[in-house]
Amino acid sequence: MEFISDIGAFTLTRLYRMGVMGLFLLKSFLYSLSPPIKIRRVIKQIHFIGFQSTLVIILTGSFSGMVLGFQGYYSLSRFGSEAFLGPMVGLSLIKELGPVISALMVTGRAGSAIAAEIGIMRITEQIDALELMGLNAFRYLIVPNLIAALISLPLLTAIFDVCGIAGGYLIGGKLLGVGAGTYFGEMASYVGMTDVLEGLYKSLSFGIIIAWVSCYKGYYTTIFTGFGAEGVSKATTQAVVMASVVILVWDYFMTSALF
Amino acid sequence: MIQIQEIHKSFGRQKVIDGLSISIAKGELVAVLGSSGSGKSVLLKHVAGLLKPDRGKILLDGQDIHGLRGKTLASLRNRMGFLFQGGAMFDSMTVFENVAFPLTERTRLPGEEIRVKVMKELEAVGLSGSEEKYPSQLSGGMIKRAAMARALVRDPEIMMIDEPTTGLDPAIRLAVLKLIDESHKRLKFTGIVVTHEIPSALAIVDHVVFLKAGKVYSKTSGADFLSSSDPVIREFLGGDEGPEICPQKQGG
Repeated sequence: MEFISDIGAFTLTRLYRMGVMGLFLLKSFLYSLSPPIKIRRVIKQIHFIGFQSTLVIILTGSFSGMVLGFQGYYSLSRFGSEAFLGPMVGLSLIKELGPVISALMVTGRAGSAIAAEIGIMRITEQIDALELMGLNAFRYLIVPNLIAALISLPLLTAIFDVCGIAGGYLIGGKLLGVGAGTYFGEMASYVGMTDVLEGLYKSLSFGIIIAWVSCYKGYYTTIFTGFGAEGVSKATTQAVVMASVVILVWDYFMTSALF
Repeated sequence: MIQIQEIHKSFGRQKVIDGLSISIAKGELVAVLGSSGSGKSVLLKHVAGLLKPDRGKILLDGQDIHGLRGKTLASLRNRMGFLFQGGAMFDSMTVFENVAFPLTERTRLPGEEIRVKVMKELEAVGLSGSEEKYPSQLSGGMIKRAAMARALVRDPEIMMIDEPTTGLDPAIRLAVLKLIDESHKRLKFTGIVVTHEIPSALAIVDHVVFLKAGKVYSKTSGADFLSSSDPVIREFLGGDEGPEICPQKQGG
């Protein structure tokens, strides 16, 4: 009997938390759409989420493209279709790998830091202090992160795609002998605007997921993950794990819908 | 000015506040005492609107703080100052930026005017020359004083002070209490001080509210509290002899 009661309590707790999380997102959107927006905070967060992630995106993008160059060439050469290396690398990066890997990298680099920063602000009563100054903590802390992630993710994804395509060319074109004309020419023929838009929609939604999950986990640190340094540590870990899982699950649904 | 009417609060199965009522007149400074877990800090957070009571009301100037939302709540909070136990300083900002923050965010004062006001407040708390330091570079006493400057910079009408002297050495404790006393005399705010600083803190307040089991056990003057023969108060004060010094409320 107690076992059934525990299952019920567990289910109710999860449902309650999902509700809180849903309302958190709704509230974030509503505040994002109504002025005043803290422009300076938005710019600061774009610098943090976007600009400071550039190097890691360039590196991961280039190497992902280089791996795709090798693997693509290896697979395509079995069917005598090396000429399609460009479209294969382009489509893989633009539609799938670019948005997903960029989002996962930003989650690891910036999402964890956002959760930790807001979590520390929560446990040291800085969020209470903001509210007692008559400031809206959502407008000050959450909205700038949401807007910054929405702006940064598509740009980082574009950088990732460009570096990946260049990396693919470096291997396929320079090392394995696929000509530049073939690589880029075929890519232009097979990669269309719909593919680019698919990548863009994905990166926008991943931006929302990263900001949403990271801010939520930080904001409710003392309530859902415990107090003190341990609470912040748990919130940070959970933010990264949950955001990564949600990104991959959401990617599946978006791919199915846009297929 | 502050009317706390029959409030109740439980966290899970633990009842922290159990039908607590206090009335604090405009300009009155009240010390809230009680053993650990008697609901002192929880009471302060209720008055600030950070926690909502399960039952009961808190009226500030006749307005139920928990019934207010948005701009009305923000405007009421604009008249409040709150000194957190740990200071709650924004650790990514300098002392100057911390103290200036409520003014830059909540007023349209020109930069120069803000600078003058902040420097004046920092001077009043004895932190001139520390304005470019970060909270992590300050001692405990300096953090308390910087937090005090931030709370006072908007000339609050209602001031809530949570354990201002905890963790400080005796000399700094007296300096912080003197600062509260001077600020109260200067700004004439209505204030609540949660403290364990007996008897020193009782010298600067108008009344002492003693909490026991989530309720108001007594509300007296500092001197009456210290000389009380009530066994519960004697026990709280540490035995029949009580503290050595019995101060009188100075001025105000």
